[in-house]
Amino acid sequence: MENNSQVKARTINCKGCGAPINLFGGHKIEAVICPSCGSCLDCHEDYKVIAKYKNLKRPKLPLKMGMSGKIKNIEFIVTGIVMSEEIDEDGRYVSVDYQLFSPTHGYAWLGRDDNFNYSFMREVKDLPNTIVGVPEKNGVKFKVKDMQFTVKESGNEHILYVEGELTWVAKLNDSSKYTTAVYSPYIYEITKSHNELEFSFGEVISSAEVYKTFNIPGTPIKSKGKHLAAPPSPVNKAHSMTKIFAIISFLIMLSIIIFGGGKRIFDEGIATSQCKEGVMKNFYIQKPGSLMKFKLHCPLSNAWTYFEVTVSKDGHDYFTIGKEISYYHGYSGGESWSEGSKSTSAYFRLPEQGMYELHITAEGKSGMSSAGSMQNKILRISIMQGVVISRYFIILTIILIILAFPAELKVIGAKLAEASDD
Amino acid sequence: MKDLECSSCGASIGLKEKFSKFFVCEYCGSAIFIEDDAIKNAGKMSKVSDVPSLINLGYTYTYRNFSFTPIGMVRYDYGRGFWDEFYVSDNEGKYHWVSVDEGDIAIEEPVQEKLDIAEFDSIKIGNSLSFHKNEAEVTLLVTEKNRCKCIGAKGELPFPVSMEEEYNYLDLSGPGGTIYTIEYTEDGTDVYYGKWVDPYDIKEI
Repeated sequence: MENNSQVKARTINCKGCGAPINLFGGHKIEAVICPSCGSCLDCHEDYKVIAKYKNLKRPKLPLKMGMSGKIKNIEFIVTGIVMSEEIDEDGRYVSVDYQLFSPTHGYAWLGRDDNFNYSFMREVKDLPNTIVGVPEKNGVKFKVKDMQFTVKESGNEHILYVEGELTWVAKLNDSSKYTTAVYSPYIYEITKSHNELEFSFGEVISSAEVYKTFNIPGTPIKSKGKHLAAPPSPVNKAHSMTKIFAIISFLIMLSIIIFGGGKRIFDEGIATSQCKEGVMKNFYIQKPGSLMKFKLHCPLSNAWTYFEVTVSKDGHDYFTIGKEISYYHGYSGGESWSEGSKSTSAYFRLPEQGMYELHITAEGKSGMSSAGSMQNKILRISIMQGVVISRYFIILTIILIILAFPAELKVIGAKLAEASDD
Repeated sequence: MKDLECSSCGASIGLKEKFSKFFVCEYCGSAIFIEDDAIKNAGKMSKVSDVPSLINLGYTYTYRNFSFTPIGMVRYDYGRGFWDEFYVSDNEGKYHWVSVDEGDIAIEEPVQEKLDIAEFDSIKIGNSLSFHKNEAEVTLLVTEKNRCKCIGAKGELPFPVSMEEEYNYLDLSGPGGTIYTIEYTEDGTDVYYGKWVDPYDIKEI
């Protein structure tokens, strides 16, 4: 059915100045403020003057009384305007609320914040599930309409300017306390005035849509910043996703470091002197195909030794590798120095279950000259099965952390530089 | 359904609901009381002026999974305005009341249990009011205290109403949009229980 929601204007004459005033609202309108003389008229007492707001200068605003347009496919008409101001330690903020009326859906508010962002709000009877009153602390969470809202802003504002028909007797300088909670793009507001606690629900609406809806000529004033409930931009979304991936990657990296070392299936110490002639040891593979790692550790001192390692089974060589361990150190120019490493490792896979042979041969020299013989130390050989390589995750995690937390890294860098200066 | 004739103008009255006890003739505005298939003229009803409304007689609407069809309505004046109380049948053949007041919409049904409610004069707006329902204590906030007067009716209703009939009432609100309406009539108190609903969730089908 076509609801005849077109509002028919009625005209009265202001009892303060006689100027004609067009009325568009329904029976819940309590007061009308004459735009000509600032008289506040009581709608339920034959429009008698109950207050007079002198020197009320109409601010330059894009929407005017009686303008109409469809929001959510419901036709609304502008019936009232309230401009409010909030002053805190960071500055002065001015917002404008246009009261809208639909005979079928009642009253709503088109709000414009200090950054020229718009929102469409309406009073609701759905109260928060957990809190009572007006929460002031940012970050407080509560549920309404199955949505989890988070308090983003709260404060006190007072009325600077009023015009038209309003559902309450609005007085200049009347103050109210408000809390804005967000579940993007939805907004839930709790407003407390001296005698009322109101709950409103709504969402962000673009200024372009407002101008189009109400046929406002010209182009909208460019927003100075995003609305609290504005959905994140694609760049912000990508940045948020990078943060999530960085955290996930960091956790995977940690778990690989902690649990990715594999199961030790062979661990033995052999004198390097024995390896000169060649040593054979046996080890058993339970899970073929999994990544394996052998690690050689030899506490050489100013010496090098070259080890050749071969893994074979039933006369077939599956894996052969040569690895050198060299470690040199000393003291010169007033500073101690060292180069090389006492350990080395390699990864391999074995295709079959069963007993394998590990053949190790070694040759080497000790001292700075080529004349020294191979140093006799205990070579510790370990074989781990089911190993996960962590270095790729470490590189990936570092890249993701740099991309995801540049500001935080900058702060940490500055603090570290400051600490090192001290 | 029953096929009766208006006792005043003779127009055919095709009742839509078997439990209807009252009917306003759409041709002559006579109020007709129906008892055991006999009809009695109960005077004239003022014509209810048409105002833009989300709910209209003869159409079917949905609110989430609940669909309903208004079959009758009563308009009450509460001093500062009026509201329309629609008698509706739902998709399961049950009856409810849907009140509509400029976008404030509540769906209610009568509470059959006899509740021990405080005297009207002893209650103030903003007070908490407690009573026992199904052996559990219910505490609600008094959000409206007023007196209303019937100023018109249309369609079929489950009981007779008369012009100028007046009574006191309270609206009590609770968590999750719960509403109780207490009507103080000459015969005692009638209690209705329901929910405030979001008009944006009501769709015509």
